[in-house]
Amino acid sequence: MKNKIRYVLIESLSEIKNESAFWRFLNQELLKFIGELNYSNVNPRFMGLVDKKRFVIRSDLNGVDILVASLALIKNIDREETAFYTLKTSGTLKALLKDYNTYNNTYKNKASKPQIN
Amino acid sequence: MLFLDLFDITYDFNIDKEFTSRLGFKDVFILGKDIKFSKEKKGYALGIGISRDTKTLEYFIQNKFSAILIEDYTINKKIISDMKEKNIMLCFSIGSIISAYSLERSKLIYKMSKLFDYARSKRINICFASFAKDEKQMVSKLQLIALSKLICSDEQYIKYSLSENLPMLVDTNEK
Repeated sequence: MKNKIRYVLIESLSEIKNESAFWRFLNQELLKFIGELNYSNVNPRFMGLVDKKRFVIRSDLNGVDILVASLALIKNIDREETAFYTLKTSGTLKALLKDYNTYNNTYKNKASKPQIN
Repeated sequence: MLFLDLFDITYDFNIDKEFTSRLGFKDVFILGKDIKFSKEKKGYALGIGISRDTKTLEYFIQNKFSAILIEDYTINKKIISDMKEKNIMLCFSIGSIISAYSLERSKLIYKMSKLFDYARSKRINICFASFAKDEKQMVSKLQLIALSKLICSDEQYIKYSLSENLPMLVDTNEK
């Protein structure tokens, strides 16, 4: 059976400098708040940065509420104070970034789209 | 019910209107500006009374405040029945869940959900809001709904509360 997924567009209060290190620390924090047992339901995957402050995470449909709630509770990433705001969730990456494209005209090149792993 | 205009209440700090609309809210009401509030036995204006002291809460009820935020979320049956009589709303601060830590946070969510269940059984109007004191305590529309779901399992009621109950506080204040 095909797993239904949701893409979540998130804005960070502080700028993201190192993508891989950021995801490693964010994943640790998510594991803390979601819990080991629920983590399999959420199954978060980092899709990529949209710009310096915004990024996309993929999640299973069943666990998207837990992901959104736990993102609100994260206040520190690598001892640096921050906050995360969930701007939008969608079933496809195209629809997720549609509003963002109209809002921010800087995002036009296909090459700058987040890479799907 | 899918495309309701949702609102939020925060304390007074530098809030960018463009930022709040990006978070998904139609408007964010500011305590002290859009909505009056009191933490002491002062004033008789319609607004939100915030306290954990029983006598202060009774004062708020007697002076017909439009909403009350019980800070420690303990169930006081007399206070709840008086609130029902005077048709006073009960507020839940989602920001307090964000600012709490570990076990303290779990206890707070438990207390909030018990108070919510009791208040709903007595048919009291309930409003959820972030009551954010700074930018870090601010949450988006989706996050506010997701965190409110920890207290109330009925998503429709949460959306109704965010869209209908919160503006009522402003309207009564302006009269």
